[in-house]
Amino acid sequence: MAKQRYWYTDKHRIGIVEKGTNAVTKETVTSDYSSISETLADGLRIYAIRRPDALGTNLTSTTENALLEIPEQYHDVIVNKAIASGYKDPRNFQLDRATYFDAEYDKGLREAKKFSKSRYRRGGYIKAYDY
Amino acid sequence: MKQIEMVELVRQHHEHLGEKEIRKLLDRAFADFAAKTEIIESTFLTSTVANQRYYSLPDELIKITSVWFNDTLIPQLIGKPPIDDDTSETG
Repeated sequence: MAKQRYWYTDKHRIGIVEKGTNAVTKETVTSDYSSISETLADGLRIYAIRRPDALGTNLTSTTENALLEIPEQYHDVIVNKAIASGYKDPRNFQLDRATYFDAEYDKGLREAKKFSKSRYRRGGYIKAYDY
Repeated sequence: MKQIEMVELVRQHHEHLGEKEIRKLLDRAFADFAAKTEIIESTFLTSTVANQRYYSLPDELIKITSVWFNDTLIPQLIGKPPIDDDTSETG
């Protein structure tokens, strides 16, 4: 019977273990979990949320990953955040403007969160018919 | 929107900032936006090695949503096993 595998995170790495009965004993401790026993090419597939790549130096590039991965309707939301951060810079510190642009950013962020959550889901219902 | 348009919009408010500084502000804004909205999903593939427990995660990873071993969904272990394994990690 195939062994049940589990994953967990430890700092910035992932640990993969398989469960057995009293699989490992060290000192006086016994654990049911041991490291996996299989070598498998591309055997581990991790689905994850990630940050975009940093922007490149080509200002007119149309293949910039960060710009392609985030829908265009949210680009001005991101600009609002950058403007707000700029107003927190000691050389141009203006708290009222920083607060305003942060609030604009938060407004856009709320919309984007809804969009992100609903992206792969389609609403619908089953309608009953009498024949 | 192209990067140049974003840089110009920021520069309208912050004339004193150079292009490099504005790009840094935009990078941080992109990262914050991606972390809070969880809008960018990706798949990372890695090979497993017998008796090796740990595998490095990419720096850009924010949160794991699911893990598949040999095309099978595997559950997350709550906590850590009481016996660790000191085999070195790869990425």
